[in-house]
Amino acid sequence: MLERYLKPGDVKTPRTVLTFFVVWVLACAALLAAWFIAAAYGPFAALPVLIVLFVAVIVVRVRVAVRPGVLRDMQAAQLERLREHVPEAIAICRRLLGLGLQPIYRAQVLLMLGECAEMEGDFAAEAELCVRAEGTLRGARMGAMLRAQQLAVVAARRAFAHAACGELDRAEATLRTAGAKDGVPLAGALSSRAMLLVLARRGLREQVRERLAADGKLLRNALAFRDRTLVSVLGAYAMSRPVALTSIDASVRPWIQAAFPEGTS
Amino acid sequence: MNDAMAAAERTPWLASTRVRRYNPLLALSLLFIPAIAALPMTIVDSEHLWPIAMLLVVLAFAGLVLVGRRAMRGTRINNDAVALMIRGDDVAASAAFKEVVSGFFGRDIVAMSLHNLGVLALRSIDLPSAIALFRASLAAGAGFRFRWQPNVVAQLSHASLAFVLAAGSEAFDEAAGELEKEEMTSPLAIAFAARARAMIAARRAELERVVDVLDAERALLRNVLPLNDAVLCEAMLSHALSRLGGSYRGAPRASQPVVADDSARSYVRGLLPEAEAALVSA
Repeated sequence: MLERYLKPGDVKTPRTVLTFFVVWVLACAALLAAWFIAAAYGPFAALPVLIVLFVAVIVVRVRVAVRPGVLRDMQAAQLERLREHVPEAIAICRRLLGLGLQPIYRAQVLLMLGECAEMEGDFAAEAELCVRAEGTLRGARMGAMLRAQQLAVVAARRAFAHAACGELDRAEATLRTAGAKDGVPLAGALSSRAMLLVLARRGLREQVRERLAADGKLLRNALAFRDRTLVSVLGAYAMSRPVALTSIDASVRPWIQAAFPEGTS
Repeated sequence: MNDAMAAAERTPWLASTRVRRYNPLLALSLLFIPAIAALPMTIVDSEHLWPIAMLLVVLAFAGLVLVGRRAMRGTRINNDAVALMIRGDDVAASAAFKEVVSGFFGRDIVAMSLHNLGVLALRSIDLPSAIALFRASLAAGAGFRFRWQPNVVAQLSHASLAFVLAAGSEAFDEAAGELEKEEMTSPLAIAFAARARAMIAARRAELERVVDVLDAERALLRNVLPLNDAVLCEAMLSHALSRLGGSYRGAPRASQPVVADDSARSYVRGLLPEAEAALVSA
């Protein structure tokens, strides 16, 4: 249910035009002041004004680009999610989306909401949130490398969500949209996880075994507890030995059942 | 700074590769001095000096673009090396990290790669090298900077250094001190810091403290840490409960066996041999 994570009107876009206009007016005013000072007291008198203006522009530009409070809040939201305090993480993310973030941050927050949905086993909402994150990334101006890094993770998570919802063709198509080039290292493991789920849901046990043999180290070293448990369930399924539900850690049991019910008995 | 770098260069992980030192004067002259120098020229004698002033402004922009491109290239090599590291190809990963630390890529990328080399050394239980590399990472990223965002690399390096100091030496106070030097905001750094606190407590035989620390961050640790470290934390917890005689803060609480594969077992054995008793084979 998407409304749990994102309501209409939650996402505000930055007021770029207004900000540009205000900065432009202020800069013109400062330059005019410098010109008047130079005309009245000689050229050297205007020098401090110009130097202050130059430094102020750099400081403001860096500060606006970095948004320290936003980064801290994003880390705080991620921390709450990883501590499994999902409602707190959702609340921080929704507050952040109301601040009019730059597209790269907006996409990251949408992805984080998608991760919250995944953690709660709401894969349909995760897929929808990943679609929005992907749209934000593709529609905005940003560095090619930055975009590729984020897109690889978004695509891998979105493909997993589609696979968990049973939309296997869509999952495979999604995995093909993001190249491995420039993807963050985790993206490879997440893609492999999604592909394993697609193969298992199609009943291709032999291919699941081959994939596990090829990516075993990657999955072992990169994935966290919940995903490692799923991978071991998929491995057992590939060997035609379904795992007894009671042998799975109780905290992830409902999640495993939601993602791949065929893997447990 | 030079001592820390020299110590890191002597480790087998760098094998005498010279680490690129950050030069603040070079950075300043590349980015700011041309632009600032252009201003007085245009004011003093704009009629004759404007071409030079324009050239300086163009140079300043070119410097900015160059620095950005080199940082991107360094990030790309670093990410590829981390991917190799995750796949277990430590030789290729360390070669790529060496390329970054010896090149002109910006101090944050160099600091990150030194930290990652430290992680490789830690994974191989080469603790003296890991200590030297984490210290070099902190030295590489130190110094004045225009920064309002949290320094994640420094957070990770402080937490990792504290952990290795606790595991590989008796310098427990120094290890605890490392955790106070930087405010931890990154989830991974907070998990590394909890791992370090648990190791300090385990090595000091403060068993209830081990359980306190690991209980407080249990969800975070299992959602963040790679398998070897997750197994180590579970083994520390189980070992501490076992030594407490099945009772924790007056209430009964039994220790649980921890499932570990060969790699995780050798990791635990190398860092806290007494905790290996808590492990069972996968």
